[in-house]
Amino acid sequence: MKNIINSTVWLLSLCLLASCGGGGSENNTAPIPDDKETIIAPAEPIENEHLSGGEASIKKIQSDAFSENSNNMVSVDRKKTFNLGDDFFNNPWVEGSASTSSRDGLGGLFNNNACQDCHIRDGRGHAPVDENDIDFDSILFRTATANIGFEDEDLILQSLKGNVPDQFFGGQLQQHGISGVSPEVSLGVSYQNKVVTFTDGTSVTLRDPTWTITSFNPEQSFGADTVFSARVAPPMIGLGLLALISEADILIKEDINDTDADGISGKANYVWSVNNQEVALGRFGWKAGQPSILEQSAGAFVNDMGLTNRLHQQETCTQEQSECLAAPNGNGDSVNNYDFEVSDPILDAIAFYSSHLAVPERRNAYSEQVLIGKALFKEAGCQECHTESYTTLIDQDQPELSAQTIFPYTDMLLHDMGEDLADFTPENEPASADMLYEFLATATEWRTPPLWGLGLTKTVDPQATFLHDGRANTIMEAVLWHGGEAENAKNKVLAFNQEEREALLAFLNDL
Amino acid sequence: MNKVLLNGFALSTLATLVACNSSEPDDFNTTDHIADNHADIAFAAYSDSKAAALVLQQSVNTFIATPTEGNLLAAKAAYKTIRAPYQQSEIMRFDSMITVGKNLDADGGPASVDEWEGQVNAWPLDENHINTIIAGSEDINVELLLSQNGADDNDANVTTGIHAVEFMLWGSDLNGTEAGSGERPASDFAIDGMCADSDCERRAQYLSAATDLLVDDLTIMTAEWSPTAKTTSGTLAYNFLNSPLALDYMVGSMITMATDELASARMGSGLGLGDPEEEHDCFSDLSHLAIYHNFQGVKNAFYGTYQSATYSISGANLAVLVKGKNTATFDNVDAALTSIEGKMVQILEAGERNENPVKFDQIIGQSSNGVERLIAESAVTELIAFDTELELMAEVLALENIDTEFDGD
Repeated sequence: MKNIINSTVWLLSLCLLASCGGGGSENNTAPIPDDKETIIAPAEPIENEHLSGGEASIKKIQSDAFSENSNNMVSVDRKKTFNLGDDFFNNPWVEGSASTSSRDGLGGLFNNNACQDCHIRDGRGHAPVDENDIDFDSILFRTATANIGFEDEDLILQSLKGNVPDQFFGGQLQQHGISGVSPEVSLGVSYQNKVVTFTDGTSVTLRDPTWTITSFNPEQSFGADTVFSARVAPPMIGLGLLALISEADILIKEDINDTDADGISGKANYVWSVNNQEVALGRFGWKAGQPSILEQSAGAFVNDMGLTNRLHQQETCTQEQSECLAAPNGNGDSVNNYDFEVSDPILDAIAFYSSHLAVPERRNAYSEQVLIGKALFKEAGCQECHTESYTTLIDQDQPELSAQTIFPYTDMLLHDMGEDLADFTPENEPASADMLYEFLATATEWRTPPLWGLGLTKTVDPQATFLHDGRANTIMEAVLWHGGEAENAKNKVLAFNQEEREALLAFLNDL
Repeated sequence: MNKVLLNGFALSTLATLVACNSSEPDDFNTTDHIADNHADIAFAAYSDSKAAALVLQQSVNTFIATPTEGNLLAAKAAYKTIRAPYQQSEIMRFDSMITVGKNLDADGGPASVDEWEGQVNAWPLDENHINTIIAGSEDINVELLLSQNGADDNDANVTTGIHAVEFMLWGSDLNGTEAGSGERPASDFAIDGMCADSDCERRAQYLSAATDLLVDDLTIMTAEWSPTAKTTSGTLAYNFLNSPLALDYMVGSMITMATDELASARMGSGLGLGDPEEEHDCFSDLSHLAIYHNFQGVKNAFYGTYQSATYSISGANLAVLVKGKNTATFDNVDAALTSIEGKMVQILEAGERNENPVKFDQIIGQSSNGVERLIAESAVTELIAFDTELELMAEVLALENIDTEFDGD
């Protein structure tokens, strides 16, 4: 078994090699081909840009890379809270009224029974592999109706209401029910190939999904004007840092009417804060429909798992869903009475945990190829929406996340991404770009997702796929699906040659 | 065991090693030897668990034939004996990173400890599911238990394993955070027409089936780690010994057991929430014993030791390997283990003492300045801090950071 020692030595030397990357702007990567004409100059390296999440970043490159707490967290009490959140994020919730009284109350209807089973190892979920795959465990579907009255539209425009959901099914479709409760829907997908060709003739085959959303109850069908929105579970890292980007820094990039005529608007979503009972800037979720991590967590508990909590004390069953309404609750635990299922310490610990999942350090931020890729990223105009860097605000309650220079690559704003990525009708037609889907976000608008951690996505879960509905198997596929305001940037990428594409991917994979 | 002698040799070579300031491991404490010794510990812990389960099976049979309070007590005592070796064996369970994709079940054995474990020690367990099965009409046998385990996609619908047997022997603990465990009377298993509710025979069938399955499962896992298995391709022992990540897995398992399990789900969550249902051995109130021996498993992995009535293992170990590379790292890990041991012993003794014992659910219920709560809280605090020492140790040993956090529960 000598090979064991050998491989350990080999690993060690690999580590040494890898660690050279962090030192400076030395050329230490694969040689750049001679054909320099087509490659632009490397971007100027920025001090500590390998620390994507500032001092909270962690040095992890394995499948647990998204599962660690902020690296600069020293307080044991805070680590205890993180661990408590971790326990309840990982372990399954069960039907009420179980003897495990802090962990019961799942359903009646639910998408999954543990946070972790959608946010796999705290990372991204995925769309099914093909039409034979019935794994819809880390993707879910929302509903909203297109033909709404003036009054509702007014409420939505004032950010007092998110949308008008399908009347029978409610705002989120659950494909699971606890025993005695029928699920709402069964789900399927098929993919059609769509070939995209680069200027140099290389082509990439994209998969274009056709979703099949079937009412479980044959007597009940969707409203004729119901529009669906597919949502894959997003990665959990760096959320607490995004929460501390100042509103001014976000709003300064807003350009709703594209007055600078660069083809890119950028719109802030304003949403109703259940916690503060006021309108607030939306930051989280695929359409920035939630103002805070606490509210995102509380919403996920009630919508994804059927678990009531202090912010949502009613199950999401609609009036007609009698089985769901009759499902046993899991209120309280064995020593405390409270009129909902997730106790306050658990909800707060989940929010704390979700705020402190650390962003991994970049591995090769200063290598020439990566810096060339970064220059190409900017050349194509990607950074117009994927804003590189911010300094976070100071929050006395979050010292680890305060005043950090971070590199998330998002402007936190909504952008029209085109018809191909739009929310869709029961016939799988794109919904109108004018349709308000979630507060101010229309059916074609999506919040620019942060790119940090992108290169470790498949390390954390090899099944993970990209974009809001998981249609993209690779990062390049995701790039090529960009449309609408990102059409120009995508076209520039389509003109990149092989070396340039490799450099761009080297950069994105290093994030 | 002759390994004690070998260890003396190891220590003396260590002295030489330190003296010449070499960073190479000596000939004895190599990866191979350390892994080999760890496999021996696994075999010993599973063998002891299996032997204890066989005694339990006899006691259960006796109790079912003659359901007296005395025979129920004897069965409970036999159950308790399993907890010490089994909880020590749990250090083996976080093994998906060295087993996934290896088709280790091709020989008919389990694919991994983690996969096997769900049938043996799953938690949380919702006893309503077992009560529903007993109140039902289907024939109760091993097949039914297997088919109902995790029924309705509900992970708490546990029908098999140690905690199912525990529930059958003790029943629900209705005392909250007050003293007292489950108080199931022997008359729940009454025979000769004396049964109060007509389910006694089905309870006996359930207890018997769950116990038989436990014996079978432990027999299977013991075989996976036997001296023969170590040289037989396709076994878990062979896979472990031939894995290039053997030591990485050992250290990763220490981290997972100490922090994600003990400091978090097994101790921290209950203490943090004050909910006694968060204690793992909630029917029998034997959590103090369970967590103490989980911690012994962490120590065993580091020091290369295992002690029981049958086995006395002391062989090649991580401790000597680390000491040879970095004395300060060894000192820190050693000091942390010693200090945490001090706290865990106090929790064990509080739970075991004859006069006014304090069980873990009572500790959960204690106010913030309760004597035992303070001890348990500081054990958790130290277990969290221990994470940093272990990560440094992994660095010193140039090990891969292995993700094992999401194995088990």
